[in-house]
Amino acid sequence: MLELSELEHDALTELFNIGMGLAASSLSQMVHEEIKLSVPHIKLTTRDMVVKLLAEETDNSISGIKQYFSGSFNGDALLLFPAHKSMELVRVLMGETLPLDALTEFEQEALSEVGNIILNACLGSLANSLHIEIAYQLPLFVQGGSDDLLDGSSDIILFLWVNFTLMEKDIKGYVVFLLGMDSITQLQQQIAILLREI
Amino acid sequence: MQHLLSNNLLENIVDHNAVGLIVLDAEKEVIVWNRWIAHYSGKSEADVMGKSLADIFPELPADMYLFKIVEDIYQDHFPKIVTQSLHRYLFPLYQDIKTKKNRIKQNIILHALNSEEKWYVLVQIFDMTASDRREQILKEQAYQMQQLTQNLQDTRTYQYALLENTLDALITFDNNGHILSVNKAATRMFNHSLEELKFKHINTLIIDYYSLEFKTFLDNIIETVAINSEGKYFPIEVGTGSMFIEEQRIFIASLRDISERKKIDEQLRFFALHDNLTGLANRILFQERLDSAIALAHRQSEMIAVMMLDLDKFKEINDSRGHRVGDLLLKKVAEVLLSAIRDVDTVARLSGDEFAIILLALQDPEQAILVAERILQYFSEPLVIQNFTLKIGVSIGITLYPYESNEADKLLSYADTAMYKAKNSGRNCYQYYSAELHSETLHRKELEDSLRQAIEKQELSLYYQPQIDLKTGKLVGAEALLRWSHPQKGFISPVEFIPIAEESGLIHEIGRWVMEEACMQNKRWQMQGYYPIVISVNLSAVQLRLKNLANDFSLLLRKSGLDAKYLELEITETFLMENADSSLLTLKELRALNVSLAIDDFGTGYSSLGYLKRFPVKKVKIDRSFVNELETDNDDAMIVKAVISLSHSLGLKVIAEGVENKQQIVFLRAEECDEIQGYFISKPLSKDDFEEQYLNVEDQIYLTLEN
Repeated sequence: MLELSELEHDALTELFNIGMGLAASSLSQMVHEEIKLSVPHIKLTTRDMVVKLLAEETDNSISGIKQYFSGSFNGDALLLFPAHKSMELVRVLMGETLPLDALTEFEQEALSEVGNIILNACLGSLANSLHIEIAYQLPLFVQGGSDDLLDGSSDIILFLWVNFTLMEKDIKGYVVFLLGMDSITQLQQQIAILLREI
Repeated sequence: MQHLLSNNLLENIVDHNAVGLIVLDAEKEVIVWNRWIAHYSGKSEADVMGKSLADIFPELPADMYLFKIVEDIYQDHFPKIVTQSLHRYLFPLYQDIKTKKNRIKQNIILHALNSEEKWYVLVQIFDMTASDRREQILKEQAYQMQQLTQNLQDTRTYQYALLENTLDALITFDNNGHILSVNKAATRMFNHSLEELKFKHINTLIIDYYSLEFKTFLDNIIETVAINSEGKYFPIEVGTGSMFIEEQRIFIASLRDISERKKIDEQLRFFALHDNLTGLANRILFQERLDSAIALAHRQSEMIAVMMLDLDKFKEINDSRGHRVGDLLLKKVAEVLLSAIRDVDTVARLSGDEFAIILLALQDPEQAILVAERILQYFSEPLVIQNFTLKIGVSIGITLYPYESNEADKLLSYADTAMYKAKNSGRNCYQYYSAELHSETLHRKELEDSLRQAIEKQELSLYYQPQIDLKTGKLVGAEALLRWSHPQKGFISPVEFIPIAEESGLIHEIGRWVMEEACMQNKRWQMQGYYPIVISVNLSAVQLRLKNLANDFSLLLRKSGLDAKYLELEITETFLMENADSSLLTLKELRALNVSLAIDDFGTGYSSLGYLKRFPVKKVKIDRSFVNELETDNDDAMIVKAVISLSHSLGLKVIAEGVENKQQIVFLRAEECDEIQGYFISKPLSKDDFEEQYLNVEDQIYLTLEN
């Protein structure tokens, strides 16, 4: 079983924390409300574990966005929320309370924009810190059960969960990097380089 | 790809694109501006070429988020989205640029493009106006739906609370009688759980409810009986309604437990139908029982007896011993009567001391007599109540159904008549109603009716019988005597009509008339200048029981202007002896008015003369029965002699009535009797004759002094 060493784990945590900080500041600026993003919890784990965990934590009703990225390593980056939490998040951001129990087109757009900022920040921090080039596609809105959303191309997942706090609401979100085996090796190598530089 | 497309073709693609396209070069200046954006921004390609976005739209604030994003993408080259959802203002684009109306809702996507080592930024602008409108409609509908749902929910919550909190049990059932739903009150009422009640048949809760008669229950309230889980029956009130739900007829029954109300009703009914003091049936219940007894007897061809009972002298006991003793006596009587009958029979207290009995299913009239005799037997012994030994007599009148009558009213009235007959024929006895009694009753009734009119029609008059002083032979007074001259029947004796007047209560009216007439006439004579005399008037026992008699007299005297000393009231010895205690006060009050009191019929009441000292009387009138045979019966002579002598020793005057011959005069004078009255002097005279023969004569001597 592939595992992150303590050093690797700490390095990634710090790296993503920088990303989250950037994302929080971008979001706050955008909606003129203070948005806090917690220090992410990071775990390198199997797809099955994540599918199971997300299903449990979300009643297996998930909304979020998905972006394919490529470069030094490639895969899918996802920002996921329990479906009702995603509604809560965008409705707070949009200043609306809707009786609908699904996200409207506009809300999906809004979630995409928010997700894009967060994933940009995460990937950007990663790319900057590791001195690598990453390119990626525009985000897609996704919803469904955890098994559907995390398609089977990869068995290893870099899993982060983050708490959003805005307007006195706590909303837990999950950042999932579906990485190929090559990409994991790549990532570890890049971290090793980074650690040496320090 | 660019190898395959000509520049011209590329330009066309850009221009004809249905989204806004802008390309910024490395210096962030516009190098592509398609027709779409030109059209909606109102700025032509020529206007914007080589300018930065901030220059092109000077009205936008310099720190606008959109500009920051553009800056960012030059840094990180990551694609970016800016949506209308999260940003109020993006590019100032309008459907109608001239009027700047209908600002276009936009989603903006930015891509960093790398070409020949240089970074370009592609800005794509999507018109979201139509989506926005769709979304607005959707939201509106959603709000309305939410409102409706909320209202519906509120209504349901409200109605549910009503149903659950009402004290009445509510049960719905289908047209097979199967219960569909119940409220909390129903589970309480029947002591069943909700589950137990569901799918039970309604008739297992309400006896015979969903039956042939059910149609008549709809929209009505009926009283019936329900049965709870312990098998206990209880009275309920049920209102029934129906409704259609999904084309199915559903019935709803609203039930109220009326056990308490029934209990109270019964109590009230008991109070309404029973005498509070004795607990016996009252007159209303007696009538009901009599009606149903007659109906039953009619069906079964049976005989029933109706008895009326009246206590003799109850009023006297009540007056002299107090109401407390009177009440205890009535209770005792109730007990005795109940013990004399069977359970199926009825004893009722109709009023005061008047009782009635219904005896059912008699085989023989003798059975009624046995009951009457049992009752009389009991009262033949004195009763002891609160240390008082009371001698009570009972008069009983009996009628039989169907012989005397088959109508309740008549049976009762005949029994009443028979009872009065019993009373008059000596008390403490019973009397069967009979045909003679019937005609007698009719006669009395007739008399009563004409007596009622007699005063009005001036058929009553006073006759005056002179009273003469034995020593001087002169007129000293007269006794006023009532006469009734009936237009058809002629003269009717007071002996005949006074009892009727007493029974019917007419005596008060008649008594007042007599008194008023006597006083007025006496005063008239005095006004005419005649020598003043005393007129004596008889007071009946019934009048003497009136509480405010003295007061009435006082008013009467004032009205007539007659000096009280010219009025004498005669009270029978019998009354005085029987009502010694209760009448003493009234007599003293009368005496205080300065009215003279005389004892009438003296000698018949077996009283001792000494006893008379207690009463404020001035005169004793010796009964005619002693005077009549004075000259032949030695005993009578001795009695008269003794009465005169003793009366004188007590300071009382003596008058003898019924004096009819000379021998009697001689005897009375010898015994120094003070006055006489009788046919020997004169029969009673009309006022005109009396005036003519006695008043209009100066110093007339009506008796010579010699033998």
